[in-house]
Amino acid sequence: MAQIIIPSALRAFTHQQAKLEAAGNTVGELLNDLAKRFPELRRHLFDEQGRLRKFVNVFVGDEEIRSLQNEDTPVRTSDAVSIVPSVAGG
Amino acid sequence: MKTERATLSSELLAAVVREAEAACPHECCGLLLGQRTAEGWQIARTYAMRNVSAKPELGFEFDTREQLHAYREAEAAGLEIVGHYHSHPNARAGPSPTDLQIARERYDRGLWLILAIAHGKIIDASLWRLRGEPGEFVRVQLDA
Repeated sequence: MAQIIIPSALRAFTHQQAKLEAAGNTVGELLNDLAKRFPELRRHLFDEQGRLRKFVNVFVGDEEIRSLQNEDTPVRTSDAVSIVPSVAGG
Repeated sequence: MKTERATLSSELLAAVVREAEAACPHECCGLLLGQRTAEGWQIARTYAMRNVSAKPELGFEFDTREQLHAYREAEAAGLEIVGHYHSHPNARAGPSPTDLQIARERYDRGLWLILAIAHGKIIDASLWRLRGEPGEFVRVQLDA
């Protein structure tokens, strides 16, 4: 199982756990596994159509998945997957 | 609603103020690193970030790759990301409507340190956090 690193902002939905293991062969499968186990997390990751929200960035190692194969990006068990929410303001 | 408190050393606050004044007329931005305890928030370190907004005089946006590196540095230092800071070169004290909209949309419930700058000089520094649903910014007592 690959490791997912949860940002501080979303730990309220993972019982304050910063690192979790999730099952799946792609980023999408991993995130869906996570959302199944932590249902309140789902709406912060995915929109109503089930797509990854635009302000949720996911890195496999050092590579952002939008420069790879988006949610179909393959993940190995040795990979660390980081969720990085976009931070902005006015 | 109980008032939350946070500590930030006067040296760290002064450094962020210098950064905000130097960035004017653009907004500066960065991360707040530290920890949350039963007594409140302790901001132990700041981490300056590049503002990659297309309109940096009106807003700020982090570079996500730089953010990832900052997260890793924080973890290596045994610190957590407890919030972020940015400046308002238009002298607005406290969160802007855009800040509120984005904080609600992104469930950004960390600390927001906001520095108001007028004519290149600091006029206000205040700390806020989104609380409740859908969320309103509530001031956090800043002990510098």
